[in-house]
Amino acid sequence: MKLLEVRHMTVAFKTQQGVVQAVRGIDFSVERGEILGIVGESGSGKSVAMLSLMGLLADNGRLLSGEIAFDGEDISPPSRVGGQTGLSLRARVCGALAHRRARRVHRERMRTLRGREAAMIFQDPMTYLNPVLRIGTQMTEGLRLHKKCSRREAYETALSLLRQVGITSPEQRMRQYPFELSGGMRQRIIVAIALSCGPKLLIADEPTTALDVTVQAQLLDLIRTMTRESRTSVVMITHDLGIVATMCDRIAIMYAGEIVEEGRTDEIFYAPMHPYTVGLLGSIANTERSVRQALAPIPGTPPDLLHLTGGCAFAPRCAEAMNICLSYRPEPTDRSRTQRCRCWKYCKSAAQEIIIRQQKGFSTS
Amino acid sequence: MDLKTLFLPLDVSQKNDEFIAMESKSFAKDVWQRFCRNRRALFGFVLLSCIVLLAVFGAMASPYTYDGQDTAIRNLPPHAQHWFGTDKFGRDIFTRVLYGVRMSLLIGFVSTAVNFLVGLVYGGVAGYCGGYADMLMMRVCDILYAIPAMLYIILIMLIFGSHVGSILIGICLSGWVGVARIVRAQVLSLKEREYALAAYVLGSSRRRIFFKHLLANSMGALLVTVTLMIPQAIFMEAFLSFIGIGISAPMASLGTLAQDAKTYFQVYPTQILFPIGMICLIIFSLSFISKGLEEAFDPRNRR
Amino acid sequence: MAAPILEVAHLCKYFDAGRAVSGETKKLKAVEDVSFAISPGETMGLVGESGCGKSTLGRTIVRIHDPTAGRILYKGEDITRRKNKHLLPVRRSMQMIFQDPYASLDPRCTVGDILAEPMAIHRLYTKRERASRVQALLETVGLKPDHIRRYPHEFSGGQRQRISIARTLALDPEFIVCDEPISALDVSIQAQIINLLERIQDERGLSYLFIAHDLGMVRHISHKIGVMYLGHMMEYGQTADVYDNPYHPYTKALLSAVPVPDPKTARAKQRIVLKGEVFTPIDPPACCLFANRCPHVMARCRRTEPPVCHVAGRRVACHLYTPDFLALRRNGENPIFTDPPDWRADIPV
Repeated sequence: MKLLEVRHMTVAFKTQQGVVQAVRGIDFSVERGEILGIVGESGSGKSVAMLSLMGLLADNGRLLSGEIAFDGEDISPPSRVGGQTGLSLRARVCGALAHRRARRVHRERMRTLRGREAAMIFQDPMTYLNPVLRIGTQMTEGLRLHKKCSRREAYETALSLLRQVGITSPEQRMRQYPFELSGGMRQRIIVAIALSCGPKLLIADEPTTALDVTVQAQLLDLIRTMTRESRTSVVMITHDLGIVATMCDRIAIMYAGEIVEEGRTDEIFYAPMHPYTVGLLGSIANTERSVRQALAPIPGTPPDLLHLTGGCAFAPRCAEAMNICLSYRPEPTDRSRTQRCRCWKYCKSAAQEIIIRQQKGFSTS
Repeated sequence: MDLKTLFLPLDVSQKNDEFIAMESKSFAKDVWQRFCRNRRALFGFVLLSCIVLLAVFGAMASPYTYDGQDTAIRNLPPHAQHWFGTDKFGRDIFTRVLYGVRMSLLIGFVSTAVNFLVGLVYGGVAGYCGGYADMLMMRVCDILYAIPAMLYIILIMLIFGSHVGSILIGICLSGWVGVARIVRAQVLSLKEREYALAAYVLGSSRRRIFFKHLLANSMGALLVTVTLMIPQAIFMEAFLSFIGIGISAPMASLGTLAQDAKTYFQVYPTQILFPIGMICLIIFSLSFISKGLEEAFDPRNRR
Repeated sequence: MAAPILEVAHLCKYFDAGRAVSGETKKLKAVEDVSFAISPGETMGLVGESGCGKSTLGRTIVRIHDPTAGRILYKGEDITRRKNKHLLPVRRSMQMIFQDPYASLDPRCTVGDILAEPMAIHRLYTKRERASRVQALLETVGLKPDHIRRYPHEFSGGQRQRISIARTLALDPEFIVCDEPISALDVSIQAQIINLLERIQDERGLSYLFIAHDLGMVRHISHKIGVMYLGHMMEYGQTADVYDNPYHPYTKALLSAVPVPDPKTARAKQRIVLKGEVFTPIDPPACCLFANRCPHVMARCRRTEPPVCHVAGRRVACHLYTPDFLALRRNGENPIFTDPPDWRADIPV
């Protein structure tokens, strides 16, 4: 059984300009003990997808649809009852009340889930650490809440965790405030806090973007060793292909709110399918490459999610775009048991069916 | 449908990969549109416009004057001829309130305009020069700010007499300090913005950077404070008049009206309600406008 | 070889960092004794971690900051102490691209105004010529003519960065300081900008000082490279040499820590994981500033500042490469330090 399985997740944000579909029907799953990398540019919906998974969306965002199964348990948010006409007022009021109750139950469930079974680390350690509380207080808080440890036990656990993440003189650090520590140290403490309750899933949202290269290497090593030991699954959100190449078992590439390709790391790097993946790989320079190779960037700019047309979002920038790409959305095609991609190049034979289905008005997404 | 043509390569002209879907708008237009979309702000704006129009033209159209006494109709309650009733000398309160509003708005707008200009220049120079000049100029501000404004306003009123001019001088003497501080803070932070640095590296003179880039960009925050300064000045005048050292009789201001009506408050409560209500309306509308401007200028609301 | 277009000698830039309890002013040494030269048509890369002073160095060269000590020679002219008024001709040919494309364009100006501004400042060309040059500039950076009336916030990050590149090109410069021009951009856009910069360089024979922390891109674009650490230039040499065989222990650690976007190489790669925390640049100790994190630290590293050593066409600020130390090493004939042999015993410190 997979640890996490997400199907048809759609997230929308209400803005002054209109409704933005930040995530448009994504499916993915995470195996136990696996590190999944989610790669995408800013605005591709990679962070939003993970935030809505954890029930941490901003007020103007809504998880419109999606089934989420975590460790065999269905944790999808209750769907709104509505659309049924002809119901009596009483039935409608009862329905609305039941929906509110279900949402409250779901919120409670998500609250216990966060921290205990699934933890998340963010890009900026200062947004996660409270600046006016000592490190010790913040480290023991989760332990005492979720594990019901005594003060003494929690303190001891926190000390040993600090030692595990390679922080010198942990007793002294426990008494310090976040601003007294360097960025790398703060991020290591956050990893320690995140892993303190022994979660089954760790979501790392660009954990090293704010850090320097040498510190980044330290932190990535730390995340890898600590999760390997406890067989914790990791979802690593990043835009750095170097990080996914070093860390991840599997990779999902996101573009404009869709997963355009997913596969094992080697498949993505050595046999990419989607033109966007090919373009990304052509856009990066490698320190190990001795011959100066010309970069082959993707032309144009990422699409404005407010003004998406019906077809493939990548079509305007795609060198291999076809007429069909502008008007119909491609559907996932499997190449192997692990690799699949959304591109018309690979689903020509199924085109007729897909077009008919989309014209009828229900897309599979 | 023909699958064959669908799978032909896309024509280059259809790609348009540098396409910008957004409508092009200037900053001012964008702010104005967002201001208008804010219902509360728009309400404040319309209300204030009505009050201003009424104060300017209403007083002219009124058959009564602010000092025309008629002892036969003293202390009348509101009725068809005298909408707000009459006071103890038989003067029409509606006309007097309109003149009072005129006076309050005059003081509010003129003093704010003066404070705005002085503060802009002073704060701009201090912020842009920086260093010792800035230090010195800001200490002068601190000193001015440290003296209680009421003290020298009363002194000025005693020396120059109680009329509009001396109230204006009193309010403007230290009112600009607040504006100067905000301008300075804005300029100091904008000066380090990369577009200011870019202009500097391009060879722009300091004056050009200041006028072309810094001033225009600090205007947003400034307008918000300035709209909040108008009610302050109106309050100040009303307060001075209320304690009896502001505008002197027979001229009307909202403060003097309230002061006059104060003694008969328990017998003729309507006489005091109208001037106070007017002050409230003016201040409500101004703070709605200010809030609306703040939201419209907030860069987070832009995309 | 042609005369260098820019020469920087022993440049220092200190900032005041408040007063200590004793009453002495504390100094933040952002740039300390940095020297290098850039030839026409050449790109020099400048890498280092955040806070190492690489941006300050760039800004000091274009004289946003006044240097504390040292000399800056631009085309043979000393511009170190020149007043802003007299810098105008230099400013025409020395330009800068900033990091944040969202902050480097004035939000109140249209793209047309932004691109015409440099010409207006220097009072060049007639109005009509300016307009046609603006069109040409837009075309150079791949934007459409009708973008001229749009405002910066309507563009994406990559488009904005292209606008700011176009602005620097308005005066036909010969030398551009690129201060992290790609670090705020998405991966696919970064390559666009790099290709654009390279194309412009080929067409116009420009020189760049390319400041970045993306080591892959720096390797790609630059001919020479300087590695900075806490204000000091730790290593300076030809890019290929430095990347293939770094001398300085810091350069080694830095290069080994870069995640390689190639799973097979990444798995095989040996990482040097540094321990310890970075010194503060405020009143730093008079010793090697890397001493507390260096895997090869010796007693003298903690006592004296390392001199700048010239080894095989490179400059390295490290005690491991001082002539006396090299002579002391067993394989003295091979100056290239590859792996630490058991040399600690040899050195009487």
